[in-house]
Amino acid sequence: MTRFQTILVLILLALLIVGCTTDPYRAAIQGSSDVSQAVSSAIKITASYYSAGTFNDAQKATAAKYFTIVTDCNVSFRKTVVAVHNEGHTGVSAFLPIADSFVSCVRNSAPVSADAKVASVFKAIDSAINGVSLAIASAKGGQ
Amino acid sequence: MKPEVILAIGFTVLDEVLAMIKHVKGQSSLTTAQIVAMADAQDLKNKEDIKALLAL
Repeated sequence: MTRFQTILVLILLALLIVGCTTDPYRAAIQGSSDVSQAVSSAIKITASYYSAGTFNDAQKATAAKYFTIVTDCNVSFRKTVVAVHNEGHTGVSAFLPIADSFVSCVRNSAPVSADAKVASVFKAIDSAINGVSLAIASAKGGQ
Repeated sequence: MKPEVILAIGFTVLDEVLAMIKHVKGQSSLTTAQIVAMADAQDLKNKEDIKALLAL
């Protein structure tokens, strides 16, 4: 099934690049929303894997822990982005450090899995998280 | 793994690929505030879905 997930990752990256947004704030918010959608998809795929017997209880629990951490970090990221925007900041330099904190938040707390099957489910979400910084850096209208 | 199981997983993944495309395309017609609200709602739903996943 990793072929399907590779397609998912490629589509996500292509859409992120094609969809280069107008300003860094909107890019950050769209990136956050993309991560939420990627988590939603990964939950459904994990449930499908578990029902099919591809994932066992431990693999399901590891995936669920990862989804919870990503969701918490994403909520925190989005709140900070909105707060910084409301303070009047508009430039890329205002939002990139927040995106970096988002990446660190996930890396410092998320379970590391050497299991290739579990790691393949995390892949699309990781791409979406890394795509947030890329989208902000590529945004127009800010310095 | 049985062919029907592979097919079922394949359809789930395909559904999610289509959902991702629809999601990204749909954002273009929304204001930033609307996207914030949509992402907030999605995260709440994800939390509930994670609970349901753990309960399987």
